[in-house]
Amino acid sequence: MKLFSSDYWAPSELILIGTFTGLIKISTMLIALAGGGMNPVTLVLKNTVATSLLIILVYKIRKFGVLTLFSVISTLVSLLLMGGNLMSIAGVMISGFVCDLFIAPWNGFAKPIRLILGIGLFDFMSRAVSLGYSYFLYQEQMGMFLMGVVMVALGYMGCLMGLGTGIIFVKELRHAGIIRE
Amino acid sequence: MPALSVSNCSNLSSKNFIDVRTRMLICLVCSTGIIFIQSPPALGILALASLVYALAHGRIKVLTVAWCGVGIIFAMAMCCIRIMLIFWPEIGEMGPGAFFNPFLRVLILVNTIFALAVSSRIQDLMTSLKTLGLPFVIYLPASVMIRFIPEFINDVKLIRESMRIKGFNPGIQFVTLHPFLVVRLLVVPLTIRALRSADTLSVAAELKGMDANTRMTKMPSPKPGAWDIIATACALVLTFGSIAAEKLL
Amino acid sequence: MIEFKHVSYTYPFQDKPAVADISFSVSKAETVVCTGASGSGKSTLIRLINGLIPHFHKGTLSGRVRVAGKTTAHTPVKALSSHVGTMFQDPERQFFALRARDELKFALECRGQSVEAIEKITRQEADRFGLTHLMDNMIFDLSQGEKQKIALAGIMCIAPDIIILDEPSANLDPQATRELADHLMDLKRRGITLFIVDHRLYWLKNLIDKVLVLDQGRLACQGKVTLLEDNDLRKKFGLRQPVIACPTLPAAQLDTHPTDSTINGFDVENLTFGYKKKPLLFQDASFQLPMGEVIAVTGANGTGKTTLARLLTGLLPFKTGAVRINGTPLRPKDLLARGSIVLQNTDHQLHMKTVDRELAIAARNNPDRDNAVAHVRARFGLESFRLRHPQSLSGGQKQRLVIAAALVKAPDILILDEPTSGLDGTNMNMIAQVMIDMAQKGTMVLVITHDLELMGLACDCALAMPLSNKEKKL
Repeated sequence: MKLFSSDYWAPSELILIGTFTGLIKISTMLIALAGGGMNPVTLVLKNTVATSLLIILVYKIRKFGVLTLFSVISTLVSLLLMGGNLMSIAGVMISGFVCDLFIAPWNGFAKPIRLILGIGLFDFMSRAVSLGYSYFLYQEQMGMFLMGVVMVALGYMGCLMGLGTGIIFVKELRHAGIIRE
Repeated sequence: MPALSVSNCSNLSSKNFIDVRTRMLICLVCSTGIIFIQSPPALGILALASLVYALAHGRIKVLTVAWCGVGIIFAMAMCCIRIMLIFWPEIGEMGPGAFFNPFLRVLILVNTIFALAVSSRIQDLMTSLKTLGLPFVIYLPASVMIRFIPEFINDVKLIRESMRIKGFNPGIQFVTLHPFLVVRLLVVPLTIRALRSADTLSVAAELKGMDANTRMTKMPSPKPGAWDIIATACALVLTFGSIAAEKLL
Repeated sequence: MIEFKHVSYTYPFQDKPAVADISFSVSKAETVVCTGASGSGKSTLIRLINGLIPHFHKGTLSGRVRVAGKTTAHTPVKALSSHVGTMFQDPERQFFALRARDELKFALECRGQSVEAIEKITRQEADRFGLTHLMDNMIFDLSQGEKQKIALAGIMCIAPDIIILDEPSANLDPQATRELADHLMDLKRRGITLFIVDHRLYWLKNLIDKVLVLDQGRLACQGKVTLLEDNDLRKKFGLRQPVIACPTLPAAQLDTHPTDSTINGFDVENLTFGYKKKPLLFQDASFQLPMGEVIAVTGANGTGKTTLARLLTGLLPFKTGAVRINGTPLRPKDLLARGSIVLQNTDHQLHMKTVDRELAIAARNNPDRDNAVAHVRARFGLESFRLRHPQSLSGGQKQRLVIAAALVKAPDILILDEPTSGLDGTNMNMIAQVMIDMAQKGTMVLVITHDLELMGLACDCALAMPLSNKEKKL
């Protein structure tokens, strides 16, 4: 598949994907640690930050496959560090691929609105997958599953805010001369 | 980053009698299999087996803290559900039976994840990555991600020091009351550092002779040892055995 | 080995060329030092030699650059990398691995070498550079000198003909600098061509065959090392001294128990501190530091200089001990409020969208903030950058901004951690003057530095690390 062919990606793009995947993991982890995992403010904040950073990544690498590769790397390293389950892993990777397919048509990667909608969809699908897993985990006690739904919904609000803050972030980085058109 | 001391890493020991790939496999098998098991005795046996597996990796204190954490979360969940049931009685029941299976599943998850998390040093993860035989387009970003984790943690520490010097106290209260200031003061400099680090590393990659046609040397994968085989067999037999027994009986 | 013929280059999005009409040549096994003020084009020259320009940085290139017989514009970077190795100013930034052994192997793995060849070559180079005992250590736990050796050994695994070194002495203590000079002499004897870009020149005097002086993108002059003995030339191009004597500074008072609480000074008594699971760095250390003076904190890497700075500014709590300023006891919280520290890396200390906001946030607890901000803006030449994003400034400008932000707090204690690392003579003199001015206003200025020139210019006394413990009291 062309996506996993080394001719398709420049080493600098692969390095940037790896760097940002690490950055997203560390920032969200540290915000959760600093503010507490059950704190609604940090729950929203960490998702806002994660989505903003993802916007910057996709803005810098506007190529079909970026979300797929991001989700593959993220799940692989998470699996190495903290384990995982097949359902979530496969689900997140498929979400990445589906969202790349969503963005791509009619030169979608050149259009900021398609990038934003694609990332919004990616966040939604990956959360849906994790909720699906928790449904089966707490199948005997729907109350716990519903609590999970509330927390994930709160987190997704953070993602939606992150779509906006991500654009602001990109504008600032352009002002700083760190990223250019 | 200035060094404060140089330690000889060969003195550090970790319970690495099971290869990281085996631990990943056990985690995957258990975390996927448990959602198909509904019988409390089967889940109980798996929980006991996972407990033995986790305890074999040492770090009893950390494991105890993790279990206490699970206990607290479940206690909080029970309180919240009790309140929810007042307004919405259809969602479920309050008896301990309703919590038992979810609790056991979470315990199995915690034990298998714990064994993976505490027995891998971050520098060993890069070696493990090489032995997985991944294509270059996955190996490079994954190894870069692992490489940057300690650096970002250090960057956060230094940025927090800078915040404290400027009179901000980046604790729970600050993060809760001023979330956007946290983004401005902490996340923005960290992101800029990350972008610059990625650029510098890209330059280094070019100078080390990396390009689109790079074919990395294939590292030999270590053969599975006796403990790898035993642990994998136990995980597969217990998990799939429980599922099969449940379906058949 | 290296040949430049009328080379000019302009970066993308820039109007002015970074280098213009540069012509010079370097023979095999020659050691050339390229120096000049900040922004004179030294980094551009490095990129032209190793092929990053034009392949990585694009832009507009004219003239011809030939390296090891190959025209760089027509040769991919990968092919050039077999002939040219580059060591960055901060070698850690070019490491791909977390363990020293893995880093040495990495470049060979990228070339698809066999496992046996990789083992043999890395063992050889590790032995040559005296790194065998460090092979299993984490890169981040090594000292700067050790990291440089790892970087050099990693480069030598490819066996290039030319090695480029970018500010190699910037973060090294004098002992590590001497060791580096020895290693480079060894490489020179082995026939390797060395192209060294550095502001500090004194440590290179036995190595240099030729000097290139750049000024505003042009080759101002080139010749033998005796060129640098011309004071007027050095002043004109903002160069540092080619020869310096180690400055003899009086020692700050150690091991004295302050008996008079009205003594005008900063007193530390029975300071004990160590990181978790590591040996104590300080044990019952007592010393007195005079207010209104510039004190150099010196010592090899790993002796606790930065840790001391963190303790004295309240960033770290000490296990036991007491601190007093002019007899008034202070807790870590008080030290934080009254102290200011300028860290090594400017990127960690710049948070805001504009220079103005950066200064405003640093001055927020200063009752006279508006005047303080206006004063430092003028003092550090930041007026024309008010609305610029701090990250868009050059390295020297950022350094001025972070020092300005530290001063705008009106601190009683000012600590600077390696403030002149990688800076040219002009910027070093500016920082020296700032420290002297602050000291004259009564501030205690502590500067952690290996820069012998800075010490000679600005420092009144020295605190040598490691600090002596109770048993070594006079």
